[in-house]
Amino acid sequence: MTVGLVDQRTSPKVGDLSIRIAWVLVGVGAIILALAQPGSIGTLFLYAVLAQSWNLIGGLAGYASFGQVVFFGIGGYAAALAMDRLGMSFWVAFPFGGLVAGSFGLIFGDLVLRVRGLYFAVATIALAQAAKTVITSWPGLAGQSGVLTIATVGLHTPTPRPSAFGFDTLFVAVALVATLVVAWIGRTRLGDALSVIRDDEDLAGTLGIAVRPAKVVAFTLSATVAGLAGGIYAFQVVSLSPSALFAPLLSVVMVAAVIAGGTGVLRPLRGAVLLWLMATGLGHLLPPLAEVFAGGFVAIVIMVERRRRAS
Amino acid sequence: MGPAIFNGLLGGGSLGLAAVGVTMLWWISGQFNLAQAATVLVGAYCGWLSAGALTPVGALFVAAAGGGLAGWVISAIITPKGVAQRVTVGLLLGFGTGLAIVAALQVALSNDYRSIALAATGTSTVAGTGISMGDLAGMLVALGACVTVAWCRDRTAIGRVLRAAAEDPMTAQLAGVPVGRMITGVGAASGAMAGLAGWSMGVAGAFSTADASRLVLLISAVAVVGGIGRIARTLIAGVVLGAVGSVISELAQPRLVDVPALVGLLIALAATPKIREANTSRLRGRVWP
Repeated sequence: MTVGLVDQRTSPKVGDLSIRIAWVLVGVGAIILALAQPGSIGTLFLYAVLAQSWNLIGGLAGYASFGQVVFFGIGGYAAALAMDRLGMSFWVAFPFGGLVAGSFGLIFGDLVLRVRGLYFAVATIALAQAAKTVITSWPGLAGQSGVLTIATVGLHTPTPRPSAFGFDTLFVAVALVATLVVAWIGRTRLGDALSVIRDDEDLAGTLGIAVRPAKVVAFTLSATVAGLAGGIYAFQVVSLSPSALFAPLLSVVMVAAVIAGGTGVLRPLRGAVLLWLMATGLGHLLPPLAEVFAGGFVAIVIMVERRRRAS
Repeated sequence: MGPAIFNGLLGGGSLGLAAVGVTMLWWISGQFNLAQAATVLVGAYCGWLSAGALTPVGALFVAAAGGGLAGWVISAIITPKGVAQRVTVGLLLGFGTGLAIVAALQVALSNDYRSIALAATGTSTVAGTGISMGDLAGMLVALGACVTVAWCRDRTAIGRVLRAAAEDPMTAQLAGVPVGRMITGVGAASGAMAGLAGWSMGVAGAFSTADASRLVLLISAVAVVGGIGRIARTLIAGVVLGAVGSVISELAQPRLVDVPALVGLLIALAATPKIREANTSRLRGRVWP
């Protein structure tokens, strides 16, 4: 229970009718919004993928990462560069983005998972900032200030761009895969190991669990999932910039969805629905306030939960 | 390169000052404030808004007051009363609160770069080296604030009470020390230091809400490199990393100004065994009376 508030056992209890009613209202609101704005469904499933990505390391292993968005960005840039420089097809490039992000996750995970708690959090923040600095400062990697545009018309177009429905379907597929990965881990010894690590890492070591390898595997899977989403997103937006692919709002979405929904297999998805409802609904009414809502939402949810547990 | 080193040394002082605020709150509450960068920006904007009506020195007090108010609110949010709280929960709270504050500042005041004009601007020559007056003012404020805080903590009656609350909050509470109020008081002081750091950044150069994410990293890196909880070492870490960053940006390219902080953080995390071990004692959080 390292993160405490995101443990599924601390999520709404069976008898807590008001919270259940609130979730039903969220579901009804989401259906209405989906019918009113079908074009925004892709965003919902992007949030679902990001939530499951953070769930793998933050929820299952109890390691609060604030830089997981870096793998979304790495996956996006890797896929875009593969298409732009190597002429790779999109259908190969986006899994390639996930693979590259996963490889970075393996390397970085082995480094940053040597420390815990505060130091792990600071290390992941540094990771995100370092990746952003590299992309903006390396002129040969991407264009000026890290801006890269994928060709979508002309003879050199590697793949015809899918329709909006096509992108939505891809995000749905990746969200499904990510959810199945979480469900599968929960049934394996890795899931048991992560559960013990989350509750008491020192005890896990004493019990003979290979603590670091288990954490690194969770971190790598989390990075791969985020990288897959980044690869699809890159071709969807076409023009990439570090501020879009490493946006702090995406980090907040990852964290907030799991905190609001809870961990486990399906709970992060309902958190993603709530975040999508807020970001699309409130953000549509007051677009500049989307980040204020998202940031404040994280703090309020945790404080309410803290008060509930204290009473 | 001389002016770059000197101005980097001076400019790093404001970074060190903000990190000292973080380290103070960690020292007494065991919670790490990721919203300190947002508090720095609150102070900077308070200074910028009031500089027109007041003198720049008057704006310094407004920046400190604005930062102090923000710090008080943030410390009340991230440090719970009566329940054990893990460090990660405080980090999540600080992260969310900081993002909300920065986003609100951006909505209200845009992300254009601003600066606070001093009456005495430009550069002055000391021993053949041109020194920015803004950097010099910032460094003097940082040094003065840190000396005052260290003196209060180590030499005064209130400092003794604070040390007792930091060492063993339960016993201190039983002895009649209002630990909760002490923590929010230190939170306000920490915020005031961040506000002063914001003012210093405003007079030394320009600031914007776009800087928030790199400020979070820089402040956290300086606090970790300085050995969390140590005032003098944190200030020195800020000054040194500021100077090295300034030299690198002069010799290579300005975008690499943050590289020393990243490298310093990496070295501190990898090479200091104390950092790895320090987690275990505080990871489980404390129970406040």
